[in-house]
Formats: sequence, C-alpha cells, structure tokens
Amino acid sequence: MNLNGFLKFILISAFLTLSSCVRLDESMRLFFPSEVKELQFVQTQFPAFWWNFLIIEPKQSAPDIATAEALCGALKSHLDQQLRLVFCGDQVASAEPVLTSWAKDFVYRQKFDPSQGPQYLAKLRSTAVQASFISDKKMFSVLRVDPFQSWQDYLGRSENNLVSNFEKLNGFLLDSETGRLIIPIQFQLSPQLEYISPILAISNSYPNVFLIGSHGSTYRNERQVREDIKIVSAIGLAVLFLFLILLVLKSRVNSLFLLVPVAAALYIASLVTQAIDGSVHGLTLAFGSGIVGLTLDYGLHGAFGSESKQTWKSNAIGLLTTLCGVAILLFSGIPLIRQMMIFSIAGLASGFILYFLLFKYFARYFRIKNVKLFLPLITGMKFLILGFVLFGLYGATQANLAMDLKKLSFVSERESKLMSWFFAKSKNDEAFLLVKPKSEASESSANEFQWSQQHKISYDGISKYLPDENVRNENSKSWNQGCGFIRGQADPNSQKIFSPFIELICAEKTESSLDQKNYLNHLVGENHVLSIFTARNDQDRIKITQEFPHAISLTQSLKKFSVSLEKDLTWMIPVSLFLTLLILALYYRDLKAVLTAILPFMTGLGLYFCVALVLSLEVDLISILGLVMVFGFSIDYGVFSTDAHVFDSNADEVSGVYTALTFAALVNILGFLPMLFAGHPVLAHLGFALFFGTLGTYLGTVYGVRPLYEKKVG
Amino acid sequence: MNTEGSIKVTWPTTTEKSSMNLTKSKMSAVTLSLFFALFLPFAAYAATGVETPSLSPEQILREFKHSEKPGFRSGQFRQRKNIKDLDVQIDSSGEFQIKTFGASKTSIYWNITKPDPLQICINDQGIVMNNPQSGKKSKYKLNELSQSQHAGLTKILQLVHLNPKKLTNDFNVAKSNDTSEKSFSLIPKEKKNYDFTRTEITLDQKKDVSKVRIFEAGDDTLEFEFFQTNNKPLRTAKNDLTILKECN
Repeated sequence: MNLNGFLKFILISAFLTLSSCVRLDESMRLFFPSEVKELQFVQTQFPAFWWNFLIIEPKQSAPDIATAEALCGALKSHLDQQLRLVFCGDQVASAEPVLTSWAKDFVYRQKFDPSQGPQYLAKLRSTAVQASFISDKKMFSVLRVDPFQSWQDYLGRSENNLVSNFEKLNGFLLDSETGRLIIPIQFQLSPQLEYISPILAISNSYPNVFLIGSHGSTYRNERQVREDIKIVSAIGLAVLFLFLILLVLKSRVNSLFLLVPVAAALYIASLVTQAIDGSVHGLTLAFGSGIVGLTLDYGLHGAFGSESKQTWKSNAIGLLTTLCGVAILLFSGIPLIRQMMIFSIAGLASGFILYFLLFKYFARYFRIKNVKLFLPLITGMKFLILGFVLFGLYGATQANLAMDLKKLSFVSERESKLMSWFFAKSKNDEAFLLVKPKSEASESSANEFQWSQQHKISYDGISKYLPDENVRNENSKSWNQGCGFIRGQADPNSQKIFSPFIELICAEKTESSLDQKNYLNHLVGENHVLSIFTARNDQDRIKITQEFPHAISLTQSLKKFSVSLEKDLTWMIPVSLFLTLLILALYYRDLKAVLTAILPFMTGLGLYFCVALVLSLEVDLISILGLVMVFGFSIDYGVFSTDAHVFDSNADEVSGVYTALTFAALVNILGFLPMLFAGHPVLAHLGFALFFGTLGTYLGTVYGVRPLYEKKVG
Repeated sequence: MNTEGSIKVTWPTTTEKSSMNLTKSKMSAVTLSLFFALFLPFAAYAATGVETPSLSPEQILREFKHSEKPGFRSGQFRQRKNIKDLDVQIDSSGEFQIKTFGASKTSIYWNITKPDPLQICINDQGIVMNNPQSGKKSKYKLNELSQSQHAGLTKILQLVHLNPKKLTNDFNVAKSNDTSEKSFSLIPKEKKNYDFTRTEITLDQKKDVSKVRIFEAGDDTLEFEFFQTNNKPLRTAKNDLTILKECN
C-alpha cells in the first residue's frame, strides 16, 4: 500500500469508526448550566411554557390582515398534530377541546341549588335562543354541553396579562402602536426540531412573519448548530486538502504519519467522553477535535527536534501547562464546555502518550528532514509585540466577566428587537414557579390560591380552576337531584338540544384525572404540577419568596447563574495563572525564562483585544473561555522556544523548534479558521478568540521570544 | 332431477364476454349521458328554486333602491330555527326595530320576549346582548372578531337592510316567479364570507322585508317573519332603553 492509500485508509477508518461507535448529540441540553436545569425541566415538562407567538409585521404601515388570515388557516390545519391551540380567527372554535373539558367539570365546580330551579330552566331556554343565531358547529357543540355558558368564566380565569395588553382586530391580537399582529400558538410537545419544522416552514414562507418563544428559539439554535457543523466540516476538509498540497510541495509528506496518533487520540477522547456523558455533542466533536489537534504540536516538535534530548522534557512541560488551562475549565457552569474539556484532556493526554511511545520505539519513521520554515525577523516588529503585550495587559483589566445567557442563543438582530419589544409588554412582571409532585397538588394548591387571594397576588394553579376534593364530591352529588329536576321540568326542545349536558349531570360521577383535564393541561406535567405566582413589584417579590422559598424565578435563576459563573472565573483564571507560573518557575528557576515562556500568551491576548476593538467584537464570557484555552497551548509555544534558547541548543535545533512551531501554528490557525464562519454566537466568539489568540501567540513566539535570545543564538 | 322449466345457464366464451362488456360500457355511456342531460339541470333547478336568472346590478338597484332611505321600521317578529340533526325547532318572538341611517349604515334591535327576555342590538360597530334575568350584559366589537364570525353575526343586519351595492357585490340575486309575493333568492358569491348557502327573502307591498329564510350548512334553517310593522321608532319599556340607545 502506498502512502496515499495508507493515509486514506487511516482517515476513512477513523471517521467511520467514530461515526459508528460514538453516539452523537445535537440537542441544546448541554448548553444549560445546572443553575437553570430546574427551569429547563419546567420548560420541557409543562405546556404553560409551550406558548409561542407569531409576530406579523405591518405592510405599508397597516396591519397585514391578509397574511394573518392565510397564516391562521395554515396553522389550524396542524391542530392536534404539532399544535394544541391556535388563537386566531374563530378563537372559541379552536379552543373547543379545552372548553368542552371545562364544561364537563361543571358539576364539580357548581352545586345544584333546588331553589334556583326556574332560573336553570330559563337559562336553558335562553341559551337555546342564543344558539339559534349560531351556525358554527363547534361553538354549538360547546353550548350543548355548557348551557350555562361557564366557558366565559374559564376565559376570564385563564386570561393572560401579557396577551391582555394587546387590542383585538379581526380575530387577531394587535399592537396599535406598531401595527403588528400577533398569533399565539401552543405546541403539543416541548421544543424539538422535528415538531417545530412544519410550523416554521409555514411562517418562513412569509417574509414579514417571525416566531418568538422557546420553540422558535430552539429551532433557530439547533438549525444554526447543524449548519455550522456542515460549514466547519466543509472548510475543515478544504483546509486539510490545502495543507496536504503544502506538504507535498515541501516534500514532507511523511509528516502526515503524525496524523495517525491524532486520529487515535480523537477516538480515545470520544470513547472516554461517551463513557462519562453517555453521548458526545456534535460541537464537542467539531471543536474539541481542534484542541486535541494541538497534540500535533508535540508530534511536530518531536519530529523536527528528534535529535534533542530536551524535546520531550519541553513537551511534558507544555502538556502540563496546557492541562492547567484546560482542566480549570472543568469547573465551568456550562455542561458543553465541561464536556469539551473532558474530551480535550483525554485527547491531549492520550495523544501525548502515543507520540511519546512512537518516538521512543519508531522515531526513524517519523523523523522529518529539517527545513527552515518560519517567518524572518523584521526590524521594528519588537515594538508591535510590545504594543500587543501592553494592549493584552490593558484588555485583561477591562474584560467583562459578566454572563448574559441571551448571548448563548442564536438570534438575529431583527428577532432580538422583536423579542425585546414583545416581552417588554409584560412590564416588570416576574413569574415565580413552584413545582410539586402530583400527590400533593390539590392540598398545596388550595393553600397557595387562598394565600394569593389574601395578598392580591396573581396566581395560576390547579385550585384556581378546581375546588378541593370534598367540595367537588359534594357538588357532584347535588347534581343527582339536578338530573331529576332537569329531566322532569325542562321542555322537550331543551332536553334534545342539551342532551350532552343532561347525560353529564345524570351519569355516575367518576372524575377524570388531572392529566385528562384539558383545561388544566398547561399546569400538569408527567409527575408534577406547576403553580405560577406573578409579582408585579418588589413587595410582591418579597412576599412570595418569604412564603414560598422554593419558588423559582426565571430572572433570578439566570442572575444567580451569571453571578456564580463570574465568581468562578475570578478564581479560575488567577489559579490557572498561578499554577502555570509555579510549574514554569520550578522548571526554569530563572525570571527571564519564565517571562519569555508566557510572552506568546500575552501577545496572543493583545492581538485578540486589538481585533475585538477594530471589529467591535464584544469580549464576553465565551471569548474569555476561548482565551483560557489559548493560554493553555500558548505556554507550549513559549516553553518550546524558550527551551531552545535556554538549554544551549545548537542552531539547527533552534531552527527545528521554530519550524515545528510554524507547522503547529499553521495547523492550529487553519483548524480554528472554520469557526470564524460559524453563525452561532457561542462558536463564533470562541472562534475569534482561538484564531487571533493563536496568531498572536505565534507572532509573539517568533518576534518576541526569538529576538530576546538572538545574541545567544548568534 | 327434473330440469323442465329451469333456465339453463352457460358461461359466455371470451369473445362473448368482450362483446357483453362492450354492450355494458355502451349502456353505461348512454345512462351517463342521460343523467347529465336530464338529471343535473333538474337538480340545479331544484336546488335554486323556481327562479329566473340572476338579476343585473341595475335590476338589483331598481328592486332595492327603497332600502337606502333613512328611517325607522319597527313591529313584531317571529323567529324559528330548525336543527335537522336534532329534529328540533327553536321558536322565539318579540319586537324589533330597524334603523336605517343611509345607504350602508343600519342597526337592528331585537327585544325577545318569548320564551325568555333577551335583548340584542347589532350595528356596524358591534353586538350588545342583555339578559335581564341574569343581569348579564355582553359586548362584542365587530372589528375584534374574525371575518367569518363577523359575517355570521351580522348576516341578519345585511339581509334585512338589503343595500343594493352590497347585494350586487356579495350575492347572485334571483327573482322568484311566484307572482303573489315578491321574493328573491340570494346565493353568496364567496362562501367564506357567509355562513349560509342560500337565503330567500320576501318583501311586502311597501318593499320592506317581511320574511327571511336562511339555509345553513347541514340543512339547518333560520326563519324570521316581521308583522304589524310601521315606520316609527319602537316604543319600548324604560328598562329596555339601555340597549336600544346603543342601537340608535
């Protein structure tokens, strides 16, 4: 088998093995930190959070009723499939299952009062007359089971503060200031791409329509991640191809053998990650591979400096300092970052061991003929390097560690504006969520409802709709007498029209379970029930948190997460820096050597901050996490180059180290390049930090470390 | 076995079979042609009643010009809804007032007295319903409702006003051949705008609507009959004024 065949075999085998053995995860599960896990649970369990809103922008400054009507019709064709409720057009008709379910529990809510007998009969006749004006079959069927029209009571109880802020126009919610129409839709299931796609296909066919809400956001993020992975893979393959051409042109094709341990390290990293997390996220595989690819630095360093005894000592120190930077991120609050770090540590460690063993026993196969491939010294570059260092130091003091979770989400500027506008309608209302097991639902909800009424705090919970069990039993029994009365006294027409209602009151009373009560659906999960308190001011907030300390506030949880992460970073970064400096100090026992070893990191930092300033990039937590990764490997560059000068290497050995670093930097820079094209903010921010951090690191190595020791080399 | 008088049955040969099929298919074609030629026109004729072809816009204007005049019309009404599936008739009656403000604006007030009191006012702004027994008053703004709900709730308003422009735009109007009464059939041009398939309207000698019969989906019908009418505002009890004011 020739070399090309062998390489093809290795690469194809690695990809096939990875794809067949590794369980890929593309969900957003790992994006959420533990502090917001409860909120994530609530959002996936309870349909109350499955409401989304289609915003229809006006056309020629007027509400676009035509689009709204077309959209409404198309959405309603998905009722009972992807959608549970669609509020547009004939709203009562679309809510028929909910209203019918509400009507069926009338006997549990209301007690039959024999003294009101004539009034009951009059109501039946009156509703029959009203029904004669109605030709909508669905509405008529609701009236047949609900002759006392208790559905109006349900609409009053379930009124949403956010929705009631809008006016109504032709069956749609209207914001009269902007002319935007709003269609609230409730999905059948928690956010999952396959359920959302058909609905998004409808809304995407209208350029002035946007879906906002948890499902819309999930769709956009997952779609973007998938697209990013496609782009990254395509660019990555193109880069690999170009790199191969370069090696062929430089007659260093045997260096491709060095990719074998990287492929093996990737495989080991995937298995370790899967053993710990159960699956490997697509992003971990895409970007963790970039980090594991850094092990190639050790291979290249070994290949170009195979004669030097110092090579593997430098590699070991490099690995140790890299692990310092990477391992500290294991404490990150974001599970995806933690998974990437597990993947990276496993990959870096196994890659290092594999290279060490290969060079120990098969060095001759991997040795690469030395070639001087590094940038020439340029007069004045030291000033630029000094500038980078100073800018890096300045930028480090200015970096904002505050975390805004919204930045983890992929949202276009237009959508972001729409969401801010829409949710600003809820003013300062803050929802407090209380989750309890179903077994405790009835009793605790009754107390909560009573408390909320006493304190005039808006409440949505089971007891808002359903009295306690004793009252329900008493009420339902009373309708045994009610049945006899209606059957005996109601006129034949009423008996025919309202036969579904009469059947209901006369049937043996076996109450449906909470799951079967469609009108409570938004508050009932698989094993838990939900209560929602809405605080309108600080006093309400204090009252709620004092009475119900376990109530979770979405806003507060996100703030807590941000604060705890900020606290984590304020110790992670200094500890990482201290550990690295300690290792370097113990290794060199020389201040200049320690400083030159960290110089490439400072230039990397400086270049990134310069680019961020020029391109108006926001230096956020994600970029800082990227810079922590740059810190990990930039110390390798500093150590390798400093070692080459400090430990009396000859000119060829020094040249070999810089050539190795050039190759390594080229591989890294090209490896991180695809991330610059990612549309998802997490990946793009990480990409900018890694790409420019690496470039700056390389420039710092060649134009910072080298000139400082040039006299010695000479 | 005695086979006398029995019919001997033999299976046809392949050639016979094909000739039989040919004969059958010819027969089918003839039957089908007859069906199309005779039955369908008859069915269409039956469906639309004994009517002359649709009136032209000029004819509609001539027949219904009268309805554009501002003024009052009040009197008694009887209403009957037939629900075919349930085999039920819902009867109600009371007094009414129709106020015409001009060519395109009108309001209608129903004071239902039987079987139980219920007052309804419909105008171009909305619908107000008052149930004196329960004391419940409900208001619906028409511009808040969907087009179909809007059309469903205001159909009576449209049908008793008979604005010529609206009739021309929305309906195919045909005149009945019955000479004793002046009656018209209205078929909506676009089904989505109206929740009925056809309406029959009968005018009295003053060219005012005296009877409306609406044919809804599922063969349900809704009928109104107006009688003892005059061209004055309705005289009503003080208690009923609240709703009536909203109609004026």
